[in-house]
Amino acid sequence: MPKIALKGPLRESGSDREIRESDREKRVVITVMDFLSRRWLLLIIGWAGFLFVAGITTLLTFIDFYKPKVIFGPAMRFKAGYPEEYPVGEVSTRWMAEQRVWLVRAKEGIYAFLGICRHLGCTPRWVPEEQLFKCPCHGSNFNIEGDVVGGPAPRPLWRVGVSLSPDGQVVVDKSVKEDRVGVREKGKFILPV
Amino acid sequence: MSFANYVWFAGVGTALVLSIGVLFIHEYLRVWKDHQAIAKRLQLKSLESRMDALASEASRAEGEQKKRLEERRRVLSMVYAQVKATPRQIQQIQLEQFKKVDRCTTCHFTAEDKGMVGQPQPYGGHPGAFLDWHEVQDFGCTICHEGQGLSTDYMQAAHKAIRIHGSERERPWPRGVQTKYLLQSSCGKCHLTKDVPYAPLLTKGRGLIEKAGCYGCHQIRLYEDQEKIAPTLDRLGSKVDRAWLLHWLNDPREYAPATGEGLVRSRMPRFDLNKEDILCLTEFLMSSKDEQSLEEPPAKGNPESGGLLFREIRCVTCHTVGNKGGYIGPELEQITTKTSRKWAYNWLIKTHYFDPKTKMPQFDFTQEQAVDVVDHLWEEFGADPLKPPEGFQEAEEALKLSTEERMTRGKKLFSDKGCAGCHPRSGMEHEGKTGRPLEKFAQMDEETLDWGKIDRFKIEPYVGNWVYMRLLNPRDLAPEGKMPHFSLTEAEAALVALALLSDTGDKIPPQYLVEEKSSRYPRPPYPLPYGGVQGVEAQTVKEYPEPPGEFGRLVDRYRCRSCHVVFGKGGWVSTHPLDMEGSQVQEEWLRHYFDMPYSLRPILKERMLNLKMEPEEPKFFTEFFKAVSLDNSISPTLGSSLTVEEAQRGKGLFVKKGCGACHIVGGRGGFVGAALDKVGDRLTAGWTYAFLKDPQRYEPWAIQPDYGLTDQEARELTAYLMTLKDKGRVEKVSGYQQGGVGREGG
Amino acid sequence: MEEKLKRAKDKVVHTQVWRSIFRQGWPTTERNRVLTTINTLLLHLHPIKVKTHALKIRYTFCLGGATLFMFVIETITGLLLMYYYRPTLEYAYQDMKDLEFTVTFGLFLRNMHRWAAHLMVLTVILHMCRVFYTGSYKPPREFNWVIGVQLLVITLLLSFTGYLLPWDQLAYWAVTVGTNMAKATPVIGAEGPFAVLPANTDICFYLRGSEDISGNTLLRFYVLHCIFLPLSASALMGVHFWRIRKDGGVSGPL
Repeated sequence: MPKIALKGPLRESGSDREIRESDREKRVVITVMDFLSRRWLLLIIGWAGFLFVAGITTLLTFIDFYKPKVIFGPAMRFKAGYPEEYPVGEVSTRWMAEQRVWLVRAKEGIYAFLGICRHLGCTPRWVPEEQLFKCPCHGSNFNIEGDVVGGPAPRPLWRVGVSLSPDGQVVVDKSVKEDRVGVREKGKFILPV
Repeated sequence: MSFANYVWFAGVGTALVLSIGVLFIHEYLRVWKDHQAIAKRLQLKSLESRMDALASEASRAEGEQKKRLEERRRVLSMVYAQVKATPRQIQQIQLEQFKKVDRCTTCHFTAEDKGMVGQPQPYGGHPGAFLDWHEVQDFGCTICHEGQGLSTDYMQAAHKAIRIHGSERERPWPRGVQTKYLLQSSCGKCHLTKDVPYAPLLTKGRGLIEKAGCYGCHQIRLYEDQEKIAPTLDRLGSKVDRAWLLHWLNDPREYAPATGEGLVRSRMPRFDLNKEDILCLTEFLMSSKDEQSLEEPPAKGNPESGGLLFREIRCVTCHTVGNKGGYIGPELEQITTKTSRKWAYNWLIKTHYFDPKTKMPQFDFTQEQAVDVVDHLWEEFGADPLKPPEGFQEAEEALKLSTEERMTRGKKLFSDKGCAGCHPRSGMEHEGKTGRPLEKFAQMDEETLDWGKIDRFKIEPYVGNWVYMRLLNPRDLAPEGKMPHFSLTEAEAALVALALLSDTGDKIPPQYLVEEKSSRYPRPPYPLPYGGVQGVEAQTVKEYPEPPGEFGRLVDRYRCRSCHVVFGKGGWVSTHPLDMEGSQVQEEWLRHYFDMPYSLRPILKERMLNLKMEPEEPKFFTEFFKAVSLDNSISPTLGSSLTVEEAQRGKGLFVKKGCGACHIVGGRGGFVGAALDKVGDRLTAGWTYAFLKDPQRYEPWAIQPDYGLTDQEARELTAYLMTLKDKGRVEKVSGYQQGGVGREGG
Repeated sequence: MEEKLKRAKDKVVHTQVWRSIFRQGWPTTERNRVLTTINTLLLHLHPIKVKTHALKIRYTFCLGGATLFMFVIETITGLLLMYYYRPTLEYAYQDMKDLEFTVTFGLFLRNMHRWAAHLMVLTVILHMCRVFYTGSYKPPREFNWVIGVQLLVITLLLSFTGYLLPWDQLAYWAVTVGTNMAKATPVIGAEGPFAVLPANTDICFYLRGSEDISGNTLLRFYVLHCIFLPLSASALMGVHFWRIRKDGGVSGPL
């Protein structure tokens, strides 16, 4: 460690500039290069490395702590009965109140919509006479495919995952969402029955 | 810094780094993660093999069958993809109704997959069909299995008792995971019925509580409004012999030697009474006399005709004679030492006067018939009068108490020991609940129970063990206690404990509860004339109305409810409730059945009694049944539409379906079902048709399988069965007119 | 090389941002060292002069410092626990179990909070013993002794209120017993000597917020535990430390 020698009296008063001026006049006992000596450098790198690792670990751990591992409230996945309970060509509003999901059975299979308007998040309602999902807030209309046919909504309705459980019931999984044409009609977003 | 300081610094630093490492390993390598990974791998493997099996089967099959197999394989492949895509995370089932969260499926990841049954735990599928009836989403796991559902750790989930440090003893968790044996007690949380389907141990345990009459002294859930099980003690002084009573109080098993191990006969438990107590209690009991009501019987009866009557009425259906017979009434072989000829005679004449609550019907005997039966018994089972048991003569002489003092002491004993809990006695109707209330039994704290002399380091101090030991030998736990000795076997005591433990005091949401009505009749609305049809909506058995008017009087007199369910309430000695009788059987048959009842199923021990009714009473019953006890869903006119061709085809069908395996026709066939000779005289076509279509709809306990007959097949079989008639008898019935093949009464 | 570095340094150091944060140059001169000490918050808290005996660890064993350290641990872990704990009848127990089984390092935090609490009580008591045996309560420090006693009471109250929060059987009955004792308080307790108040207005009722332990009790214990008592303790600790400085620094042989 560099030895620090205390020499010369302190000036009584003065502005910041004066203090800096006076510093220059005085003999510098510790230079910057002293801090860059091999010993200091290793010490600084060592401590910085330690603090960095400790900091990153703490941060990551805290982020992991901050992320909820279990979600309460209505389950994201739920069993929605057997496929036979849904007649072809109909939109079922059976799970709307409980899960905010419409189940639609088309010829190709069963798919499900999230009951959230893509404009500002209101809940549209299914009007069977017009075969439209109509949003009461700002008048967005969606057809049975979920595509926007009127109103301010910029995107089609979200489709959510549908699959089968081991006992043959339809399982709706709201944790996966899709609205891109070409993707939303395939894979986990449709249950061919 | 000195060297020692460097060493300290390095040591502490290393220890800190190591402990942080351990902390991270402990946190991120939790056991459930391994379990879930293994479970997933096993499930995928099993799904693959199942899919392969289906594929190879489909390659061999053709047409419709092939299509079906391929469809099943496709469903499995979707399940496969689903399982594969499930991320490794904590699985949980939320039960809003119960305010519970179960995370058991985090490790028991494959519990719902039936294809995984038999795999080692925790990777096995749930055995049996229980999950079909109890959807996991709605019931979770810990409602039945108990344990800490929030836990994701084996020990913290309370799978096992905790071994107390430094001893052999284990301390069970208060509500730890149920053992396989005690598991059925959980069924009793929601199933508030005396028999619970698919829980034989619980059903048996609850039956034992009822049979032993535990509810006489204890407050027990489900048994709040039970009748007292034992006969009334009013007029006992006129009824029994004093020496017999001394024997009986000294040791009830001595009078009626055990007809088997366990709670068979007698049900009266042995109280720890000393000789003086017994003498005082006898004095008190014998003081209740009613000599005025007793008539002097005719001097001499005819034992032969009495014996004939005895057999004709089938007294042994209820009474035991020589270790044979029923268990409803008392044993008759030692009747002569127990009671007097005079009492027996008066009992037969005025049965319901002497005991209004008895299960025995009031027979319509003449004085001669009554004395004939009594003399038959006395001739058959006559014995020398009993002497008081050993040592009682001396004790009596040594007892320096006046009659009054003995009475007082006897009465006090009667109250203290809870005799009035089982025996009705006028003036003491509300006494008897002398035992500790056993409601919310499973919640009882082990520490508050009296463990007596038991070495608590040898057994688990668990409330179930406590009641088990107490039932086997009450004096071990409470040397001064009141609890008498019941003659239970170890297995029976364990079953009673199991049944008592089912009362956990948990708050069960009402829609989960299964109460009496819906269990016996699981498909509401039960087609009772007083349930659905006439608009009286009875929710539980307790709410069913009493039979009205003259019908009610006769039901009471003949004690139909001792064996049959009438108006939704009654015994299950017969599995044939009488509430649809009018729709089920034909009028003529019914009228004649009362004259000469017979057993429909040859293997049954209990048979319908010959009640010796007065001539107009069978007619009244028949008319009442035909007018009131009807079920609107059974067609009363089906019989007239059946044709002879249908009957011929039905005969072929009868053979094809193998009905003869269980039913007798023409002297050949099995003994499980009712004999079908003469069934065309007995049952209505409408009932036969309805029963064939769906046997369990009307009688959920029926063992007849549902063959899934088409309407036409059911018609044909009905038509055939309706042709099975007793030709001889048909001629005897006057005013009989043939209408179609079947015949409808009323 | 040296010139280049120096110029680079000057470029950074002469910006307004740098100068608004660091009011003086490197502590290479005596003057700058003093200014650094005065202008920096943490260094400012440290006394300007430290007596040599204060460096002798075996006189004070740093028990007061250890207590402060425990208090800091309690604050940090407690804050983190508050993320996952709801003081209601329905959720308290469940959240405690969630912390154990689902939250990353939840079990560690909970255990740390608990053990640090035990240790804090221990260090407080040892600290008081040390103060007593070294006679450090004597003038001019008698007022600080009084403050210390108040801090002891707050520490114990913190432990007691925290006891109820897991909402398990132990918590419930321990606090039932603990609050029942309040009934025996003279005058203001319903069952104590000279009782003047009925059971539904006495001190125990005020503690519990109801006749028995209930959701009210849980909520008020939570507020006491997380806000009221820690704030009071912090305020008193400020006074405590201030008085140490004013009474001549860390105590030593007189």
